Amino acid sequence: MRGQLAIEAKGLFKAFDGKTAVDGIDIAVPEGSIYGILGPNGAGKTTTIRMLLGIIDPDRGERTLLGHSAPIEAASIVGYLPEERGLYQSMTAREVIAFMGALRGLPLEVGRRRAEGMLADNGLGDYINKPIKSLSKGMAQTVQLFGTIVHRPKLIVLDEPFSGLDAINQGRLEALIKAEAAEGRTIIFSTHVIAHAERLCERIAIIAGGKLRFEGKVAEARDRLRPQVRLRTRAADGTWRVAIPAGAAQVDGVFQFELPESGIEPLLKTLIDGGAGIEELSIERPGLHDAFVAIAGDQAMRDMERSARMEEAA
Amino acid sequence: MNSIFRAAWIICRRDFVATVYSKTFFLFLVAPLVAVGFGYLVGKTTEDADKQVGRAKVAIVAEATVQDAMKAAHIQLTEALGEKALPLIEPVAPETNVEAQARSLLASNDADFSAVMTGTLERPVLYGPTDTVGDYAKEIGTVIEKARTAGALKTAGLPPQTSDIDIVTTDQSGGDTNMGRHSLARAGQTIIFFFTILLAGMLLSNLIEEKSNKIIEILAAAVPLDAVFLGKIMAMLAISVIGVIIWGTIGVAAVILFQGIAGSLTPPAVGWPLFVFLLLFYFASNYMLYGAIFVGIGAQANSVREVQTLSMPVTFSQIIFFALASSTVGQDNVAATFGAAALPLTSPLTMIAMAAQSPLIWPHLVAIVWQLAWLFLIIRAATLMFRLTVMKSGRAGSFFAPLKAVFARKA
Repeated sequence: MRGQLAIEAKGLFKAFDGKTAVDGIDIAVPEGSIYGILGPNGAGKTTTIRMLLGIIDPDRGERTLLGHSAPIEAASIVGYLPEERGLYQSMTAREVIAFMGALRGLPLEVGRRRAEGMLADNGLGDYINKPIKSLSKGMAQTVQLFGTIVHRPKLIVLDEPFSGLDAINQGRLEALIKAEAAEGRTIIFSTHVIAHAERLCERIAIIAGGKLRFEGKVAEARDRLRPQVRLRTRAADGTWRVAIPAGAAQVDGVFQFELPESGIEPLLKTLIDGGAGIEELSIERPGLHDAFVAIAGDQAMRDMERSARMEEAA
Repeated sequence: MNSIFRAAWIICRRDFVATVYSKTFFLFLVAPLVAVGFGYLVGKTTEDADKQVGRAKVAIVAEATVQDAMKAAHIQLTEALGEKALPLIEPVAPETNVEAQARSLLASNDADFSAVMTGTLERPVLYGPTDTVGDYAKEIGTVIEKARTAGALKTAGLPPQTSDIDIVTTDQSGGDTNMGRHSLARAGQTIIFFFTILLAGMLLSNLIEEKSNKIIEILAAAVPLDAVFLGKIMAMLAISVIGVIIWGTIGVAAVILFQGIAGSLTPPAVGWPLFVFLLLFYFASNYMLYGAIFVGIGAQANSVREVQTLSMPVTFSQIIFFALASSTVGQDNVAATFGAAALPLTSPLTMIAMAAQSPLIWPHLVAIVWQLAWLFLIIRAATLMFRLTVMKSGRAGSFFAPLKAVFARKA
């Protein structure tokens, strides 16, 4: 194992039928962290995850999963929830969970016991012996999630885990991710909903058009942008106007501009000395949303929002 | 247990339980029995009619003494040569104009005669169509000859002609043993072929559920794909063996119940215990070799419709390989037999025939290793093809990579 990285990938490249899907992606996921891969649909998130897990091999590049260069060798300590959910419809909830655990090396009897506990603890005790086909979509997704973690893996990989869940279940899933991370597990998930990543992740990768646009801490992404100043004045004009940057926007009488490099004190002094009559002044740290726009571009943001809307409609 | 076999066992167990505990499995077991039982009943019902319909009938339009002599001779010859050796004969009382009567009988479809004999034993006349009357003349001539001889002996006051043969028994006859072993060889081949063609086709559609439900993604991330393929083949083999055991037991019981044991079978050259073991092994091997190919082909299909389209050429290829293996039974052509034994898809069929005919054991040891090696190669090729074309993985990986995993021990 090199350092304390659960996943390390360098220069991953993948093309399908001559069309580039992932182009030279580098990722480093520290052990015990919650890591998000952000990007609109079609950005290359799933292809990246599938390469990291060894489901498909990259055309170029290298990856290491929990210290193994052949990901399948680490299968017993990895849990994976694919984007496209699928379960054997005739199997019972308990058997599906135990089966998924058994695939990862967990004895069936242990898997069954744990499955019963997980289902009962989450209000699904009545469905332990029910076939998957009799469960609602949300319940089936929960069962699949339990199957992903029943063997208590060191690394949990979730591809669009919030997709298809209602708000309550999204909240439950966020809590579960935090709980698993609190037990020292590494969690990596992909999403096109920035809010989830902002609430959960310590580090993120932003992917758009198959390329890695950013990789690092969430704070570092936000620090790419200067803090935003919002200013409303009583005076319409005066010498204080020299303090307002040339490109500042004015919406409904409110100036919006980046905090100058010189800081807030010189700005305030100029405004006060120039008689601006400050009615309202705030300095806001940019959110991940703004950082994403700045890093990946407006088009990527619009694609992300369209993906989210389509999912909601579905 | 290493990881590939452990994973294959998990897949095998799931598929086996899912199939055996389904309602359709009962149908799977019962349907062939119902079909065979129904076929037996229909066959039995039509058997007597077939016996009559399938044989030609000759009218004997003659004096009663001639008819009696012909009937007696016909009975004697039928006992010696078998029922189907001669046409049936039926006495018909002669009318005034015998020739007109004979032509009338042949012209009538209701009378159902193929030829008509008139006259006496000394001057018989046979009426019949141009293209067949010659054949009937030879067959009826034999009956007439027998009747004449019996009549002559009776006239001379001599007893009926018999053949006084002294019988001396021996332990065996090489000719009969060889014939028996050839029959056993063909029976062994037919059993393996029949059950393989009946059951291995199921493997064509075995990955459809995983592909349509996207479960393949979970499996591929958790275990080597070779284990998925091997597990599925093992599960279907186990299911098939259950079917074979149940059908075989009921079939043998039915034969004993209705027909008794019609005489002892010629023992195979390697002896019964080893032959039965080899029959089971070669069935399993044949099933898995074809099964590996079928899973590989079926894995490329995207829908049940595509699988159905593939079924015909796949079945046809099985028949061709069966014919090839059958052609080696009883042949002295060593090269042909060796070729058929070396060709993986004819090897099990050829080897079971060899077990019936030759006492050599070592060729079976070689064949077992050879067939298992081919099983590995076919599964590996199917897996790589699946990764390349279905999973769209650019690099399929080293062909022999699983061997390392198979022999690697867990740390």
